[in-house]
Amino acid sequence: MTSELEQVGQCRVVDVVRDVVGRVAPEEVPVVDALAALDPGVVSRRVVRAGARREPLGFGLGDVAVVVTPVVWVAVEHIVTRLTDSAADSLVDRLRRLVRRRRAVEPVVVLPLSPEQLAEVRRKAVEIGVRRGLAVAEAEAIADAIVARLALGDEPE
Amino acid sequence: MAPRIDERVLGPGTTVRFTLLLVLLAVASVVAASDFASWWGESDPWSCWLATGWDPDREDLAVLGSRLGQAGPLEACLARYAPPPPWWLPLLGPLVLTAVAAGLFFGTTARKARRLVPVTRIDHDGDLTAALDDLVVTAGLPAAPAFAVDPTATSTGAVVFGRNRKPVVSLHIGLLVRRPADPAGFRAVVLHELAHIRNRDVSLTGATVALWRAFLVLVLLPKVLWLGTRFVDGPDSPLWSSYLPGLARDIVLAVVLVLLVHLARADVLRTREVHADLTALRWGADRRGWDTADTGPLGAFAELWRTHPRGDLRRASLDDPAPLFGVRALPMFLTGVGAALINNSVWQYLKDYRIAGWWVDQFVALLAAGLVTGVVGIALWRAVVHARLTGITAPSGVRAGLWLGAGVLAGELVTGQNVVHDWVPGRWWLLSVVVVAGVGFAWWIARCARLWAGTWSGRTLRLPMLLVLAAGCVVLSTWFAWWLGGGAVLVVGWPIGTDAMVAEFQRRIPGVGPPWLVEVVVANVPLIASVTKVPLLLVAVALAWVVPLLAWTVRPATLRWVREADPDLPDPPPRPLPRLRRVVTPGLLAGAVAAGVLVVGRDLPELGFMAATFAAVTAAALLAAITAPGRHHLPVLLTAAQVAALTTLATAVVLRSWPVLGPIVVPSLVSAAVVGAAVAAVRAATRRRPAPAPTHPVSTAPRRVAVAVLAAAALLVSGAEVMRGAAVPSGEGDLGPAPEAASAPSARTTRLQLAAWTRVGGRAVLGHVTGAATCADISAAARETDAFFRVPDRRLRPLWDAVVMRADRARTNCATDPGTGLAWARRAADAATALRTGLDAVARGDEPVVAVPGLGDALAPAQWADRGARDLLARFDTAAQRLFAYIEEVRGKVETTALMPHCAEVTEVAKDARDFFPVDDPWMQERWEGFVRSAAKAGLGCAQSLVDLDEDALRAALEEIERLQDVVVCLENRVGDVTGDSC
Repeated sequence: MTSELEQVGQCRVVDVVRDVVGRVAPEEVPVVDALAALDPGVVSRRVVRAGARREPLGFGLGDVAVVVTPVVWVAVEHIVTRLTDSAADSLVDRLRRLVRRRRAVEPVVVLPLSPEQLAEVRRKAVEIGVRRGLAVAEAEAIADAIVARLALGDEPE
Repeated sequence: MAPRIDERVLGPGTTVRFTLLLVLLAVASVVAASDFASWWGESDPWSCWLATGWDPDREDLAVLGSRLGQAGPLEACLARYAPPPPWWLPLLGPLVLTAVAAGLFFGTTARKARRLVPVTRIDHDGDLTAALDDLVVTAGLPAAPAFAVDPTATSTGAVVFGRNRKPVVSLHIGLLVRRPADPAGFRAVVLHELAHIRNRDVSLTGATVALWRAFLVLVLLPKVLWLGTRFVDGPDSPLWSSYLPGLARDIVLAVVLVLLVHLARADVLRTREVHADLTALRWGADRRGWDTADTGPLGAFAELWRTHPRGDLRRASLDDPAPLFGVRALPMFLTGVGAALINNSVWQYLKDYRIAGWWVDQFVALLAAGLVTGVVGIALWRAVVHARLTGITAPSGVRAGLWLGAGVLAGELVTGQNVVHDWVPGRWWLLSVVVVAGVGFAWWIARCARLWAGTWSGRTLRLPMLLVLAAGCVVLSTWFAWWLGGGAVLVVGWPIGTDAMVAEFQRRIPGVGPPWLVEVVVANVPLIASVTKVPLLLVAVALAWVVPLLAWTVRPATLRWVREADPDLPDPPPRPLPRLRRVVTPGLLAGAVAAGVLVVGRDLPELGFMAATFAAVTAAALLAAITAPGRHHLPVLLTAAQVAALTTLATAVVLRSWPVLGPIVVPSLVSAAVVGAAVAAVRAATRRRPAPAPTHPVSTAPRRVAVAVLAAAALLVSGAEVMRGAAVPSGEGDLGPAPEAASAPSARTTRLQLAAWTRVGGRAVLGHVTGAATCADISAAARETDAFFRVPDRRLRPLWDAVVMRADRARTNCATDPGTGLAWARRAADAATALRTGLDAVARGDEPVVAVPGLGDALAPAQWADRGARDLLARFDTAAQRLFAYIEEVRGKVETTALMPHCAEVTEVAKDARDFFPVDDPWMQERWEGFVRSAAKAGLGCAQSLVDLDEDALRAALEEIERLQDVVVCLENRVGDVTGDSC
């Protein structure tokens, strides 16, 4: 799936995540659709936090059913943040970012990524996956899918 | 497995527990607003307290004494130097709190909603919406809630929030991902959330959270910060030891509030979760929905803090809802603490604004009493009903009452009720009465519940429960209202010397009864008064035995409510009650015996007859309670005791009159009720029981004995204290001011007191006296000195008294004779100047000169007479003539009450003649001094002889007054230059 944005070298985070999740865990695609309907700032803030929440009047079956989407989302977001940070690294800009709430604009990945950046995404994805309780092999499979999507710009046949 | 019982047989009682929290936070904010306002403005009550002569090194009773002794000046001082904020300002506290909480509530709801996506956005084929609609129909909700999806929640759960009328069910995205694989689990989760909506949990939960957060930010945080600053700069203050207890209590109070709200809320939420589970199960939710490995910290302590019950406990409740019927210690204790905090906050406000009155206290007490009765009463009723349905032993209510009472006690200690500057009240051990009251209350509720559950044949028990709870609310409110006044007398003591009160009592009603009886009665007047002043007390006593007695009026029939709660149970027959005749007859018989005794003693003096009636009523109640039948102890014995008491009282009224017995009606009936309950307690504790039920493997007998011993000890001690009141050390002689400390305060304290006295205007008042040049000036200054604190240093007291007396005489004389008035004004100024010199000396640390300046050079006889001596002599003569005219008129058969004012008049003249200008004639001066001394002695002797009914003493006093009439004539003649033989 190639969007119009991608033709000018940019790619929405949500599209990348949907492609990867569709490949690794197709049953989680509705999750990506639902996330896409939310304010991007809210998603950035809340996807990072893992685990079940305990709220008054809440009830659940006690396990976590969505595991792939958050890993993919956080890893892709990570590279977007890194790219933005290195582009605007003056002290003033950094301070401003600290004060400002996370941007509410649609996050995009600027392609193509350098081999170092791809390696960084992969490392991050594995790290997050393992931290969230995935087996190393599972985390690596997800990481590889992300790298493939970002490197090739399209779902590999 | 226990039979499956419908947990809705009675209301869950969680709403009233939430309400208690909301009310607690609201009233606590009233006090907080008042506190904040006083920090904002300049408020210095300490100077006023010191100016009364308060010694920070002494205990509370002395503090109260010094305050009561100078109540007028203190009130004026506080109004000026520590005025309370306007009355409406503290009331803004709850308003602001509610407004902020409402903002938080709606803000949170909106914020949560922003994180959600409508179900329709992801439900492309409509399958999910159809499933949800189906579940709403299953639940029978009148309107479908809004369903939304939380895409960031990876777990397989759901949550409901918003308001009861507009709830939002947020489905975690994980649940939707899981749904195709586990449709039954999905149903269970959604039905559980719909059950919360059905049980109307949504608004109340959100409101409690919002109100608590608002309270935390608006009240607790500023308060703790402020207390922190006090701790930092407090130790430098010389009064640090006096306000440290209050400060420490405030900090503990903040901690207690946090714990209380957290624990109580978590507890209620856990209960509501189980109710929602059971509701969902009833709607057909799959039990496997609860088969999760819900882990969390194990152990009873960790469980207290959770808002959701642990998985295993939860699953157990699905099979047997017994936990929903249990009476647990924690809610009882927290309810007690909450009630004490609510009462304290409300009474604090009323006290600050002098909204006094027993009706106000009574009305206000209904608030906390209603909430406590709701929480404790419903819990006990549920437990009793559950025991009835499952055949286990019903709770006696004693354990619940112990925890409730302990909670109230803890609340009292933390809020510092009945404490001024001490850590605990002087007679702190009497606080155990609070625990006994808690036990009595819970016991009564439990017994009533048992009685009604065994006889009521209606389809639900709601009506008898409401009846008992309403009566319980009135009973408890009268206890709270009484405790406010009577409890203070009990645990703090009576700051006024009783000897003075005895003297005053005898002076007003001479010959009322033997001195020892007067002493006992007067010593207990504060306590008796506190009982008679509670407006609804007799109503409460009546409700306590009439409401259970109504159960005898129910026609025995099948208990339909049992079948409604558990259709599997066989038709239960009613439990037989003792015959009503057997209940009432012992009361009537005991009353008849007591009435017979009263007939014998019908000619006793008034007070003696009242005391005899009281004793007879109590004895009759005791006799009736001992002989009454044994089943349903408490209601039966209360009834028997009251019947006996009423019979005795009625006889007494017929023998004498209502006005004579009016004052003891309330104490007698209360005493009879206490006796009935006490005997019931003893009989219940000593009764042999069948072998303990298997559900209670531990024998409860030792515990029961322990409770009985505790209760008896507490009551005995309070009784002993009441009697001991007769032996309180005596006062100074005139009524009012408390006995001053035997030991003088330290030099440092004296300097502090004098500095405070000056700060609140002491020297300015003296300045007005010394600067008075006209009658108007001195009159104003006299009024000022009269209404001002006496000088706190006892060494300087004679000087102060001289200033007050002379200024007062100046004012009195100015009206008729400005010359004499101004002469007194000059003498007052002399004393004031001497007092100022004395104050300076004390401030320097020297020993002050305390001799009162003389009244100046002696006056010539004519001038002396003009300055007021003639008037005094004439007044004495008139008083004496009136006295003898009265005796003449009644031909010696004097009525003590009629003669007493004449004696007082003689004393009054003697008092005014004391400290008078000297006369420049040694012969006259000598006779004048003798006259003043003798007149004072004769006046007092006259009054005392009437009190003692001592004829010889009266005769001696009258003879002396007669002799003094001759002296008066002689002095008058000498002034008029007439020489008589009588001299």
